[in-house]
Amino acid sequence: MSESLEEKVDLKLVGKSILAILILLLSFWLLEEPIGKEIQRNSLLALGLLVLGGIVAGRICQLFGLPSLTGYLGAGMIFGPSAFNIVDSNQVDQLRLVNSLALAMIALQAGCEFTKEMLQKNFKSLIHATWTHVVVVGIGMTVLFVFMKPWIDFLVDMTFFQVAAVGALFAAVAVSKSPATVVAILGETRIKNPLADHSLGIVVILDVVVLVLFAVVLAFAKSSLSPDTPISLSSLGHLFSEIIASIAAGTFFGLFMIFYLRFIDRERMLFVVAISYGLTALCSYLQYDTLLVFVVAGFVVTNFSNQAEKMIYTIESLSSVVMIVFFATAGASLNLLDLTKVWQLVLILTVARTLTTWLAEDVAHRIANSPKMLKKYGVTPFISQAGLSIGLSMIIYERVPEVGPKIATLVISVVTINQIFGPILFKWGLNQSVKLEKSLT
Amino acid sequence: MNAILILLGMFSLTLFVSNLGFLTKVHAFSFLSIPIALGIFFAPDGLIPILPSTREDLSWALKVALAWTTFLAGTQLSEKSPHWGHFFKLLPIFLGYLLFYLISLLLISYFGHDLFRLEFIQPGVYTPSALALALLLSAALFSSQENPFLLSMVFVSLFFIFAAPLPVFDIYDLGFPFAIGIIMGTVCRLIISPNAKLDTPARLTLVGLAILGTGWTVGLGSLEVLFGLSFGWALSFIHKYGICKDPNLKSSDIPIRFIVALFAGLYIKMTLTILILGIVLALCRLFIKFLLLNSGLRRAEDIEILTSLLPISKLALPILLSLHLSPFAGDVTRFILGIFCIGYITNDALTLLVELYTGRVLMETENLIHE
Repeated sequence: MSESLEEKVDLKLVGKSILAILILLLSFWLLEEPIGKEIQRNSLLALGLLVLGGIVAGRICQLFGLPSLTGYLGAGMIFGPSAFNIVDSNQVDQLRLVNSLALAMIALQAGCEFTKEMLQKNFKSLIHATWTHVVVVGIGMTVLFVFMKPWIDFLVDMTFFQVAAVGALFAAVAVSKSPATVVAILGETRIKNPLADHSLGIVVILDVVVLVLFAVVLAFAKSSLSPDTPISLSSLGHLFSEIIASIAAGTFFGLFMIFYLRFIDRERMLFVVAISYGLTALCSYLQYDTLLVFVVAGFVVTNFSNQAEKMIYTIESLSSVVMIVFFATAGASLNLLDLTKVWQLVLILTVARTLTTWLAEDVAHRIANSPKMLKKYGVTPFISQAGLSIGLSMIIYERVPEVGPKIATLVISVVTINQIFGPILFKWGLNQSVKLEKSLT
Repeated sequence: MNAILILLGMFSLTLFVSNLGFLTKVHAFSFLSIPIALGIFFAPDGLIPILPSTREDLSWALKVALAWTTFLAGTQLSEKSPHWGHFFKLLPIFLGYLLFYLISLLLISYFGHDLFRLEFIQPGVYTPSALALALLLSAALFSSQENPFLLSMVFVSLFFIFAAPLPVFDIYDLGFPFAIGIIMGTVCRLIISPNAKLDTPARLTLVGLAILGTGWTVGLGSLEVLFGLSFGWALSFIHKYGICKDPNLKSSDIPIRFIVALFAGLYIKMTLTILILGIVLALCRLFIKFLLLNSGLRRAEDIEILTSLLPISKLALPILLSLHLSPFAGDVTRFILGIFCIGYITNDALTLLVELYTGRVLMETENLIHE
């Protein structure tokens, strides 16, 4: 029933698309230079360029078997402040309005795909992978920071506990994954198998777990870095009440969506946009976890009614534009300049995170005795990082002024690399898993 | 975020009212009166005012909506290409329009300053601005689905309506958006294959091009509706492009026209002058149209009267709103938009009455045919 973003792409179509972009850029130049009519830059121009650039770059990527998402990111990087600066940072900021819509729809779609059967079938692997990701990646990255203390300039003068606290902060962010990337790649490839179910389950569960983990680590880090600040776990209690409230709100709005789709069922697209913006604003005001609220709402729609198909179809019809803008904006936001300054350290951290994530998956699937597919390709969905990780790094930036800016730069640089290579790896993993499935049957 | 929430709330209310069983059965009623009225109600100068910033925060989305709605109209342009037969059919309408123009000119130019205290009108002097203002307003208000010629007059009047210190509309303001539309049409023909249906990638490309073209046109300080028309026409010109034939393309038209109408209301500053002029001109319009029908100069079936002749053109409102959002905006454009909107609502109400009076006969006939 639903349409795919994936289209039949051949060399001729890609060539014509590139020609089209060249005609456009030439027309811009012709109107601006020889005729002398100045074009005032605006957010619409930026949005249009990112969408079209994303479409064409996505097609080029598809031609080489890469995910379209990588093309969207690439278009953002090329047009963005890091490269040609056709879309400047102000315009990127203006487009953030679309991001809240994108995140809401991604979470809602993830929730809609989250069926009871899927949970029952993958229960063991999900539970084991959750704790192994927290323990192995968390401890692994913290230990790495302690060992690397002499080579990281802002850690040199710190005590052992302070270094461990900073390491734990980075580790908490390293545990986070990218639900947006997972949902986008699954939407593009339309693959449904144990690897797809596992990836979706883990990114959603870890989103909640990371929030709790991050709150605990942040409290300890603040206390150890500024001795005047006592350890306060009151924020943890507050966080738990927020999570419970988020689940309650998600359930309520899920039931509301069922009611609307069952009894009114008009202007579905408008309804999804309205509920996405409305609920995001409510979550922001009440400080609920937006992602959790939407996932729970989607879960309720899928598991307590037969309206999920309508909902997924509507979201997919809308999400095509939103996804391009979301990832192209993310690409334009990536700071390639900072990456070049600390590339050695970033490379070590990225490799370490990949290795610990692989180890976490390996341990989990051995214990859970998961299918061969998960044992072999289970790590591939979890390399990507995006909005959640950057959001957490911004909290560190504000709340831990002693080391916040340095850690934020490191996190964003690591996220940049992971976001470039993560989606490619996940698509490859999914394709390999399908081949494996076929060979086994 | 607040802006979006408030406007979505208003939009939901519009949808709710529009979907009332009674109204969905009516032919002549355009539904756009409801969002216009709601917009006037919630306008910064309205009864329950919203902040002007709330409205301005979403003006970029409105510009895309305006370009899109005219793009959809543009894809139909090649079907409505004028020919001599069409011209002779429209001749009586032009005679009626001439009468309507004179009435508008008289009202605005003669009574404008004395009775209505219009500061930008010289008392009793037919300045080019006053002539063009009356031309623009009357052409927009008199237009109906069957006479795109009147809409051309709207554009022609733009060259004369603005005088210093306002920015003056020049040939580039007309030429650039058309050129951009043709460039976008060409680009679209390259990116989307001729046989492609309106699937997700094609829809995405169209939306991307519409946004880009709108941004480009706005960046040049011109009217996005001109770009929309040109883009649509460029796609449908010669051999209508595959995606233009897809019936799903039109599905977005109604919600977008609702948004446009809602915003139009939000930009209006209601005064007694606007109210009186709007109602009087709408009454005159209806009177002249029925005069033509009764005199035998123009013959039409009942259904044609209710669906084509009486309702005001769908393009007129986007054009006037686009003008008010452009660098040419000022008191004049707000005045025109205000009168047009009141005229629109009055016309809708009057045609609703006409339909209720004559519609029973029509519906009975339809039922008979069906049976």
